[in-house]
Amino acid sequence: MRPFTAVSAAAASLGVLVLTWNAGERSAPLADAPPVASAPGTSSSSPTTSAAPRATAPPGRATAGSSPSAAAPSAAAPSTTASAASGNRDVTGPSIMTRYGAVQVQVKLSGTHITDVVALHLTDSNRTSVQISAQSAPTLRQEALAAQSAQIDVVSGATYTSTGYQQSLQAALDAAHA
Amino acid sequence: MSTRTAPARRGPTGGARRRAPDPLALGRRERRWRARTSDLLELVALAGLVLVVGLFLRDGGSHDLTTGAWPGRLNAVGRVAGLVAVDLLLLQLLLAARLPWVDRAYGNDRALKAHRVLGRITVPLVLVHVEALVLGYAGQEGLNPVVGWAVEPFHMLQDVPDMLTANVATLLLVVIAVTSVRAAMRKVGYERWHLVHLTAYAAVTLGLPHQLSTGTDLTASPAAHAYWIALYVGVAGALLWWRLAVPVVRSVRHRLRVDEVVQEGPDTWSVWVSGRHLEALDARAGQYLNWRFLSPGLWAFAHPWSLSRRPDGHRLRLTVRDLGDHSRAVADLRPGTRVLIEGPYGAFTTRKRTRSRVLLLAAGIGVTPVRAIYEEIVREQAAAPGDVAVVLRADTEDRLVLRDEVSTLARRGGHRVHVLTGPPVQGSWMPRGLPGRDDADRLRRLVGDPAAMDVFVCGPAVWMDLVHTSLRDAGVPRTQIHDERFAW
Repeated sequence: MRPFTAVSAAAASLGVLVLTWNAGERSAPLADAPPVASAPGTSSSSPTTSAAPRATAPPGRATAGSSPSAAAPSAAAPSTTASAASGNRDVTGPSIMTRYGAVQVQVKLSGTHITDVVALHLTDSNRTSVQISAQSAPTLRQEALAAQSAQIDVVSGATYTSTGYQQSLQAALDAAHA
Repeated sequence: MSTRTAPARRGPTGGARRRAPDPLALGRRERRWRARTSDLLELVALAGLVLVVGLFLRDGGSHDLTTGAWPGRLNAVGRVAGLVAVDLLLLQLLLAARLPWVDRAYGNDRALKAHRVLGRITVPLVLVHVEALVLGYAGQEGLNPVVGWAVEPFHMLQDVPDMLTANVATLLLVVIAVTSVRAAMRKVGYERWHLVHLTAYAAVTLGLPHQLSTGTDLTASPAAHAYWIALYVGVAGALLWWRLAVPVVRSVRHRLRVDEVVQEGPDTWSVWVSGRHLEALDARAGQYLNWRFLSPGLWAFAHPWSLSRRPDGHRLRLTVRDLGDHSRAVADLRPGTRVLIEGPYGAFTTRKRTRSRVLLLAAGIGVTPVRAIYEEIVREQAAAPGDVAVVLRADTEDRLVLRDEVSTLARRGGHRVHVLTGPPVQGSWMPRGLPGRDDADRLRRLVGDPAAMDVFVCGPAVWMDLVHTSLRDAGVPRTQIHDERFAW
C-alpha cells in the first residue's frame, strides 16, 4: 500500500474499532438488566444468583451477567411463597445455569392450576442471548399455560433458554406438588 | 522495429517520450494501475477485517472482554478469534482463486505467498478459537480447566449445534497446515499435498453451519447474517468462476494438443502445444499455465510450467526439467495428446518494464520465462544494442538450457550474454572466481551499474533471495526488480 493510503486506512480502521468498542461497552450493560420483568406478581423471591453486591454501582452498571455462583452446583433450591387463603401460591424454581446465563422462573398456582409463569432471570450472556430470551419468553409462557405442565416444546433458536425454562419450571412444579 | 534515437534514452525517464509504441510509457501506466489496484484490494481486505471485529465489539464484545468472570472473557476471546479466522480463511481462498486483478497487480506467485503467510495465522487462530471456547464453556459449567479441557469437547459435541462439522473442519485445517510446512511438503510431494489442500474447500464449508447456528455475533442482526452469507457466496462464486469455469471454457475453446516433444538437455524437454484461436488466449511472455496432459501418469495433476517462448498465436512451448516428480513423464508424451490448461497466469511480463536498460538474470530451468521475455523485448520492444544484458547461471555447462536460443536473440539484438557456471557458493549467487568485493560489485563489473535497469530474475528461491539482496546493495529500487517465484 502506498504510504498515504496506508496511513489513512490505519486511521480509519482505528476510528471504527474505537467507536465499536465504545458502542459495545455502552450497550452491554443492557444484558445485565433482568430481561423479562413480566406481570405484576404478588410476592417474589429475588433471583438467588444475580443480586448486585455493590449498592454504590451506578444504575445500569450493575455486576456482569455471569453469575458469581457459576462454579457452585448449578441449581438453587426452589422456594415457595404461599398465600394460603385462596390456595394461590407462588413457587420459585431453581436457577438453572446454562451456557448463555442462568434461567429461573416463578410459577403462580391456583390450587394445581398454573395461572402464570414469570421469568425471573433468562439467558443473558450477551446481547444476542438477551434478544433471544426476550423473543422466546412469551412463547414459553404460553406453552406452559396451555400444557399446564413443564412438558413444553423447545423454541427453535432458543434451545438453552427453553431447556433451562423447562427444568426450572419442572422443579418448581415438583416442589409445589410434593 | 528499432527506430529510436540514441539521445532519447539518456535520461532516467525522459527518453521514452518520443517513441510511438512506447513500451516504457506502457510500463509506467501499468505501474500506476498496479499501485492503485493493489491499494484498492488491500483496502477492501482491511475493511472486511475491521468490519468483522467491529461487529463483534459492537455486539458487546468489548464489554465481554473486559468485564466479568474469566470464562466469559475467554468465550469472548474465542468468539473474536473465530470471526477473524474465518474472515482471513476466506481471504486466503480469494488469494488462491486466481483473480485476474490480483494476478495482474501482484502476480499469482505473490498472491500464493501471501496465502501461505496468512495460513500461518489462520490455523493457529482457529485453534485459539476452539480452545478458548472449550475452556470458557467448561468454566461456565464450573469445571476446573484441566478436567474441563478433557471433558468439555464431548459436552459440546452433545449440546452445541453443528459441533461435529466444526470439529471435522478444524481437523482438516490442521492436516492441511501440517502438510504445508515446507519440510513436510517436500516429503509428501506436490500431488498428494495438492489433494490434501483441496479439502480446504470442504473445511471452510463445514465450518459454516456452527457459525450461523451458534455464532451470536452473526445472528445478532439480520444485516450481519446477510453479510456473512454474502461473503461466503461471493468467495464461492469467485472460486467457481475463476478456478473452474474459466479454465474449462478455455480448455474446450482452444482444444490444445501436444504437437511435439523435443529434448533440450540431459534431463530437460520442451513440449510444443498447438490449438485453435491461440491468439485469443492472451498469453504473454513470462507467464505460466497449469498444464494437465491427458496421458497416463500426468492426467491427474496440473503442473505450473512457464512458457519458454513468446506466444506467437499458433503454438505454445513449455520447457520442463525433470525434478524427480511426474515431470519426467513429459518426455514420453505423444503428439495429439489432449491438454487442459489453467491460466495463463503471472505478472512477470514486459508490462513491468519502465526503463530502457534491462538486465535479465536466470538460473537453471528459471531461464524459461526469461528467455520468453527476452524474445519479446527483442522483437517488440525495440531494445538498442547494449540496452539488454543477460546473465545465465548454472552448475555445469550442460545444464544451461536454451542457451543457444538466448545467444541467437542476443546476436540479433546486439546484446551481451554472460554465462556463469560452477558449483553453488555459500552466500553468493555467482560461481567462485569472479573479480569483485561482493556480488553487487561483481555484478557491476559484469554488466555496468544496474541501478538504472529493470531487472527480471527467475531461478530457485534461495538463489533469487541472494540476487535480490545484491541488487538492493547495488542500488536497484525495489520497483525495478521483477521476479517470478514458483511456489505451490
